[in-house]
Amino acid sequence: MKIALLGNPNTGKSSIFNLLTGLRQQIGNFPGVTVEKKSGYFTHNEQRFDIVDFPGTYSLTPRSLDEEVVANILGKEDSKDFPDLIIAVVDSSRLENNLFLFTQLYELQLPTVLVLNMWDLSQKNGIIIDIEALQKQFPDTTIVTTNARVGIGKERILAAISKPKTRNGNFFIEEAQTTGNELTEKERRNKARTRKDKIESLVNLVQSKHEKKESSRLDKFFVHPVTGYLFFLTILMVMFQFIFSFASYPMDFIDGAFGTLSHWYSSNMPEGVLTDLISEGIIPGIGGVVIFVPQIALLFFFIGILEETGYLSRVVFIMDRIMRPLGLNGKSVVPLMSSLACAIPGVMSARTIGNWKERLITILVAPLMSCSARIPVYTLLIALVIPEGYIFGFLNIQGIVLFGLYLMGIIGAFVVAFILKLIIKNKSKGFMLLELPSLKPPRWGDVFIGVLEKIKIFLFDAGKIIIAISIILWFLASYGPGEKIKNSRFSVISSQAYQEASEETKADMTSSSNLENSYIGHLGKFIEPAIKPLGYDWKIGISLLTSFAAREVFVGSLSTIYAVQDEGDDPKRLLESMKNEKRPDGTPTYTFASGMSLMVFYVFAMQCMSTVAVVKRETRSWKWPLIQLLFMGVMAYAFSWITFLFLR
Amino acid sequence: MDSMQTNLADCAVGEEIEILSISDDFIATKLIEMGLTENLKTKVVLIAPLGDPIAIDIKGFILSIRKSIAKKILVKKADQK
Repeated sequence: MKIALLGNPNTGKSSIFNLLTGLRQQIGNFPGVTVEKKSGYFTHNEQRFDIVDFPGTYSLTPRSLDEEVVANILGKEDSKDFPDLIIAVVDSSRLENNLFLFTQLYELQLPTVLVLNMWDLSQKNGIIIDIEALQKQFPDTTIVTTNARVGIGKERILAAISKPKTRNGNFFIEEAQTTGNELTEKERRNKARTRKDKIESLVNLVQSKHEKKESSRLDKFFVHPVTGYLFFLTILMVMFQFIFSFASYPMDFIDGAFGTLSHWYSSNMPEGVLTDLISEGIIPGIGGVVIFVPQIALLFFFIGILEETGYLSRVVFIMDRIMRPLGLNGKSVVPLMSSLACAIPGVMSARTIGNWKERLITILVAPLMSCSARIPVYTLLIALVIPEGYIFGFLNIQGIVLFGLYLMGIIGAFVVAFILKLIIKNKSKGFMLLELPSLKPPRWGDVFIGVLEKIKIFLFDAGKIIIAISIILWFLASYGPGEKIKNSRFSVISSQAYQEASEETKADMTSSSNLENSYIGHLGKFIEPAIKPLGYDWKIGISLLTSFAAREVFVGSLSTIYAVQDEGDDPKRLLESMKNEKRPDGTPTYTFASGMSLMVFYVFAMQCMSTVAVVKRETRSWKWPLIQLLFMGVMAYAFSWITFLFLR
Repeated sequence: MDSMQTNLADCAVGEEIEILSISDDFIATKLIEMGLTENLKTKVVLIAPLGDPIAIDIKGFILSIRKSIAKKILVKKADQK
């Protein structure tokens, strides 16, 4: 039996869904659109029920993308998700508002179950609903009361869906029968008004008193011009701190574990291509996916709380006016801020943005925010080309440069957002009408399920792409055309320097020669003429290519090229050899100009395959990640070129 | 004092108002679906720091409306005591 779960936003629909399905849920998309589809199943009395949690809507009039999905599926009996039964969830405290959608659903002539959720809360507020009288108005529906937040009412819903009442075909309003395809806006309005009026008089019969919302003291605090922003900033700082610092412990652990696993595998298996593929391609590839899980989990834990409590909509309320000129949404603040730690959870968190255009712009500019993976690159290059010292006696010059790089990314993101706002067409006609739900404590079960969902999406959807790309990169860096790798290895081994070197240096020398003669090495040399105007040579070229896997790979790649594999995190030897590195004409490779140019390159370039994979997942097409890759690449090239030109 | 006609964008927090008319059919339909109809007696609950958006009470839930839309909603301010 197929069930559609429908209701207005903020009626506790998701809690009902979680209550019925537990962890037996799945996230996908509705065919052809980017609207998220949550489905799940459960069994009751040996009968299987498949349930789809539709996006929350106020009516069946297709206005936004979400509403279109609902209207399309319920309008077509042959669509895959067309239900046998509808569970309509309403908030008991807002019966009159919520009945608008329900009366439309009632007219679809499908069996319905009307769930009066948050029943206890309405009781507590003195709202008395005469269920018998309500039942008389909708004789063909089964009415149940629930309090899904604390898990009350599951049995009642199960009993209701096991014995659904059939519909006898009367319409709630007469006008509903004449559903001519194209109504004028005026006719639509009149029809909505008729329905609304009828609901109003009906509710007057069954309900004693309406709830009146006053602004609570907490709300006044949240939207206050001073305390409101201060509080939001504090929340962001806390989130950011947690993601930035505390995620590093599990991340280091994952990094170490996969390193050990890879090492163990290669030393316990027979030597050969397959062993290399697994130990150097696949295991690090999987590790490179899993390593993002702590950040994703932490971010969505916080976002889950913010959403559940209703605070997130207050954020939108105070940020909307500020972000609007940039083509962004009040909700864009969270994805952009989180992207300062890592763009991957940042991009995924843009899901909370309802408007497609605003969400897309947020996703496209998020990777311009300098993430934590850029830090190793920045710090290495700053230490290399920026002198230590102070301006005005207290401003650390290296610190100013680092701050400038972050600022450059943020300004870049805003400027690009503004340009994209002018270019991208808006798909949905929607204009923002936002509900501010009552503030309430979070339901931890729902937060937890939300975190698991995000991890699952990342691991299984984006993970596939990331592993595939990292295997390709591994192949390109380990194999080369013809016998070159072998030949040059031979010449390295037979050189006098090699004979005199220590065991460690010997290994460094061969891996340096291997990388230089691999496909990527050749590619690095091939692109040298293109990156020369930016102040780079082929060795930097190779590192640019390999660091498409992830930005921090840049440092490791340079270490390999310069044959100075450091133990631990201290890149002292690498810095030493980079300082001594000379161009063919004898001038140093890393000057103030070329170093700055390289840093600017990393501010703008999309050097992260995982972000590409996540953007593909979130936008459901290769179009947007490729556009993003392109414009970020163009920006990186152009600004590095300008930087090098002016500083040389 | 006589009751005053103005648009929703010009109301202050806490002001008791009655919705008179909505000038745009497309917007009106959406608002009706959400419960904001002509003749609704309500109150401005919150106004965002930059004066935009503003939030009003609709029989038990708070709806935030951008100023550009609020301008299209004609309201009558209730008699002040």
